[in-house]
Amino acid sequence: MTLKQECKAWTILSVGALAIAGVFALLLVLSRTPYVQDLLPWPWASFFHKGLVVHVIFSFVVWFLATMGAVFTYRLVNHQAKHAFTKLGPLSIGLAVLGCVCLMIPALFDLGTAELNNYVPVMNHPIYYAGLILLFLSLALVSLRQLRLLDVSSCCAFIYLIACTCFLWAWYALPAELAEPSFNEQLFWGGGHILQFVNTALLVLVWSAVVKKRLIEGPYEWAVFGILLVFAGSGPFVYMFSDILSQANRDFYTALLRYGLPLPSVIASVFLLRFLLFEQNEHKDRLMETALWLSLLTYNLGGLYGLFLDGTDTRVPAHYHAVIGGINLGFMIFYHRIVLPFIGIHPVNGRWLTLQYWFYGLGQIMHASGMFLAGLQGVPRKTAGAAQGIDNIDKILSMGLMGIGGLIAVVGGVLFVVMTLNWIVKGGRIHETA
Amino acid sequence: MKRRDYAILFLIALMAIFFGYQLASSFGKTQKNVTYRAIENWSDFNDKVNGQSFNDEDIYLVARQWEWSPALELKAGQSYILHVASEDIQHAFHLEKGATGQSIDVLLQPKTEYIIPLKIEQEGQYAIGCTQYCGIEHNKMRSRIIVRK
Repeated sequence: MTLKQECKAWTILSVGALAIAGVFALLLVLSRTPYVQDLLPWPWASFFHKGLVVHVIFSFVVWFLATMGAVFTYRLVNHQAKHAFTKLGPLSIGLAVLGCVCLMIPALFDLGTAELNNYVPVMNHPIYYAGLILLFLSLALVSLRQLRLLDVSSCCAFIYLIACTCFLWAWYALPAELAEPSFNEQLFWGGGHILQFVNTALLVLVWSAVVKKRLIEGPYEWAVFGILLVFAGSGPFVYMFSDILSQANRDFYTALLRYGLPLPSVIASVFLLRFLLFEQNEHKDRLMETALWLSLLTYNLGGLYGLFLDGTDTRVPAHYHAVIGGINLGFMIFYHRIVLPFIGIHPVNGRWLTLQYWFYGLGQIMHASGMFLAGLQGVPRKTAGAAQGIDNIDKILSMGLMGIGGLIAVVGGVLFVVMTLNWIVKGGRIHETA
Repeated sequence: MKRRDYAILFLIALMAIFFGYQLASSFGKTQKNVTYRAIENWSDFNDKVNGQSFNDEDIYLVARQWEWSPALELKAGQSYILHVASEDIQHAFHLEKGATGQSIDVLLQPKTEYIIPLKIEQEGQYAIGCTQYCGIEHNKMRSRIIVRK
């Protein structure tokens, strides 16, 4: 396998993960539809939560991690020939694919119980945990390979390894007799927070790749990644100084995001803003500018909403939906403008491609803003029906904005998956040898 | 690099150090005035919960999957001592910012009593919720403190 083929494999895995998440979202709807639910070959009542776990793990964790694989492989090509042979490629891709299969099995065969804990939702079944281990191990191998580049992508790889260290340390420190919900929450709490540093680093890497030049000048770029690395690096040490089940341990990771992420995000955003406003670039085109503007706006809106969080209302999902939306937009244009041409596929520029970005970007902004406005009025998160307490016109309008925005964003997301997979399938195989 | 770049980088370094200091100094700071003690006998605590009157200064609240019990009804402007405890697994007691001017968020270890001074000046309904994942119906673990004149 060459690096180019490996990059294509990570691309298929990441976009395929979104497709799988979409199929499970559809199955979730069917499992709650009267009459149709009785036709499904598994118990629909228990499938709902299990299907939700699979939907979240593929649309969030697998999509992000596989994109990290694509980013790392693409960066590696700049240091080696793109036809360079990779021994690690087949192994890491194989482990990740096997991991993904394991992640789906418990939901499809009604095994174990579901837990919707933060960051990495799980099913309490050995096959699912094996899937997680294989997936994280696969990306750990890729990250170890990336370290030898000694560039900013190595910082990102190192932060990922810090997240894995937190998972391992938590697993070691947690008492075996702990109740399953508490066990799973604490197992992924620390490492899950560190993964948000990885996601931020990845966003900066894809922004830089898309503009096809050094987006952030040398010392500033090292400042961005250095700050991310130093803050994330404090993560594992907390297990040494506090009990894993204590409030000090829990609150530290929340504070870590509050104090560690804003500065690097603002610096990178300022450089992207400068590029979009003032710089002429031969590679700059309308679609790229649209996507980068939407990514910048959505991501920073999410950051802004994060300043107003308080507990259990819909401001919390407003914050992370906007931030994730901004990162997703960055990933999307990275695939369309960088990765696909690199693996010999040329996306068709047209109305649908442009619309996809507008739908997804504006949809996410509306969705998150609706939730933020509703949260300001005390609407609780993750509730439905009467429990939401929607008793005035302001709340109705806010939740309406959220609903309409969500639907528009879903259309944008579906367009991305369908168009991108279609191009990849039509693109055929990469015939090359080392 | 120009002189301006050195100045900006110096500023960035200062801000990073400031944020690092804030993070380090926040470590281990639990909610002000919250104390806790182990519950030796759960049935004693349960008796206090069942026997309480809301004219008392001490009020009791139990967290369990996935409810808060009992519903609390308080008088505006009166000082209370809230005793809250989890009957089963880890939960976290969260009272919204509007109640006291600062949100209260206390991680509850099972069978441990947390003692929280509480005084709510304004009448109204204030949301309480669990902010520690505690099982599949975690998000339904909500209630309200009703405050009357």
